[in-house]
Amino acid sequence: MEKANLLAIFIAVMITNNVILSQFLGLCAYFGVSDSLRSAFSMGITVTFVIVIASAVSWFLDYYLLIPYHMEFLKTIVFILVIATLVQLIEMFIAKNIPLLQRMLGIYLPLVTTNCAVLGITLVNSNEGFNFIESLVNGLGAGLGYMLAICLMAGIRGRLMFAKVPRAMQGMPINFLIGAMMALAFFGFQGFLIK
Amino acid sequence: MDSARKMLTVLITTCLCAAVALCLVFVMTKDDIELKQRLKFVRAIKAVLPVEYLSKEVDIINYPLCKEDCKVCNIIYIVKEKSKVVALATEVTVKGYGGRVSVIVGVGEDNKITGLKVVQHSETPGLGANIIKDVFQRQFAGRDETIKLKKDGGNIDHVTGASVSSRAVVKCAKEGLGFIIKNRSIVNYNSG
Amino acid sequence: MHVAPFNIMTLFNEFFKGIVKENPTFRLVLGICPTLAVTTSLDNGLGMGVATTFVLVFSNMFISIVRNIVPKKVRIPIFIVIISTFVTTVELIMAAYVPDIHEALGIFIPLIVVNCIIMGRAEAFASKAQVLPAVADGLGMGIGFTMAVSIISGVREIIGSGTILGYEIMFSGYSPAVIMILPPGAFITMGLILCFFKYMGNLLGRKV
Repeated sequence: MEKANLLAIFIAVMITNNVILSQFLGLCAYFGVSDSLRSAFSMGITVTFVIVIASAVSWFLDYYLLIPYHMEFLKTIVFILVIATLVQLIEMFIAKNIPLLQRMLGIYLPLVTTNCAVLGITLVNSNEGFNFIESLVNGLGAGLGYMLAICLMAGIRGRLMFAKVPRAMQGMPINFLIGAMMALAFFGFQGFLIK
Repeated sequence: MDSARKMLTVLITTCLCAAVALCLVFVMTKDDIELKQRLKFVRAIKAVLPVEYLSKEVDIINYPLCKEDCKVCNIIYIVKEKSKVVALATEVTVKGYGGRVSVIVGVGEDNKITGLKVVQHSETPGLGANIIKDVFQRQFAGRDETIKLKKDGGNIDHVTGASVSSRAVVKCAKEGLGFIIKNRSIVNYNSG
Repeated sequence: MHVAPFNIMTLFNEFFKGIVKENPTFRLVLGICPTLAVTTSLDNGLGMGVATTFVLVFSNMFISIVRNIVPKKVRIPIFIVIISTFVTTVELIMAAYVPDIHEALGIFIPLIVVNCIIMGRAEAFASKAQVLPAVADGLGMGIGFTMAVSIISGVREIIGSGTILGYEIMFSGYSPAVIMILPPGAFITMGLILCFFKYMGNLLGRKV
């Protein structure tokens, strides 16, 4: 039962209710960073990394600080500060200790602070009343779902470079229409996990 | 060093000001928020009563039934009109097509459903979301435990294009009815 | 640091540039998440627009007031604190006075904090401008955003449910194209509107 529940959360946030394509979280970077598969992949990894850590930290704050003292209304401000601090700390840590990661993710980390997927998922965790493990699984699924969607998008955009797009459609408009097709495809997964 | 101290001072002062301002706003809006939530709840409960009670004043008493660990509490709402019990109601949540579906079910003295209202759902807009329409919800009044969709050999019309969502509501109705019938004897009608 | 001279004309310019020339949604394509997520009906779109405008105006105002006492290194966290204070204020006010819209917008009210428009204006304009121009800029950008969101949500509501603000307006027998209020419809509407603006821009550009 417990495992099935975790699996359900994971599949839901990754595929059936994909963070980007059906919950509309983190769209700016979705269009901004998907111009090459390489950068899309790095962005995906960064987001996954930050979402999982942020889910964990914000769960502790929510459960041991905000809920016991009935200060849920401060949730937004506390979570966004946690995320901003966390991103800063991660940045400093990997710059010092893991230069390989720094080269890969360095320029994407600052973008993650204002990525609504991270704040969005921590808020969902808290609103749904997930426990610690469920929050982690939800965060991981969201990150991987983000990576999946952004990499697919980058792949399609790579192919599109060889296509003749009408002038008025070039750039953002065609990207949104690709997004529409992908959202439609992912919409087909809805109702996938019904018992 | 001095600039570090200045940074800290500015940061801390900003946070403090923000916290104080927010507490003020919170205290100012608190009563209104609670009032609105209460109104919404009362409206939902009234919607599951027989039609003639729509315009009447009713008292709603919460009667929590907790399992041993007290983590899961199912609340039975006792609805009274002038100290006469009109119906018992409870909220049931099951899994629908797009997420959880929460339904308040009202049950009369004759162990039949008096009415039902979907209070929360995330079904597909335009299809499954039509379970909130009155045409669908009204069919449940007066049904007993044999309730089923016509599709499954029963007597309830499902919402077009959304048999999974409709089935979820039927499941809620059945569970709510069963729960109230099972616990009817232990409810203390005079509490509250 | 360039400080704009203080007169009515520049105020008007700051105000109007956000509505047409630098429209945050259609020209700069910023803050797309709420633009797509909550535009399933016109009243939700309007609610989102007004809430965002409120936050924009007040955060711009306060950031402009404190711009000279905030050390450069910690300005981002300070901006975040100021913005999220106003977002929480809006959230509480909406929960108290328009609970239905509050519920419909759900998680996207707190997410105004990370709306790129607000952080972008704070960083690019309010932190360098005097109070009045900053407010004018916030108001203009907010109205520009509200208009954009209203257009998108209006189109989606009319086609997707055949209503506007909940009133039936399509001819009887019109069967709504449900896809328009589902997630794909948001992308389609936004893509086509952007395409339209680009096309018009190309046409006008050729004439001049």
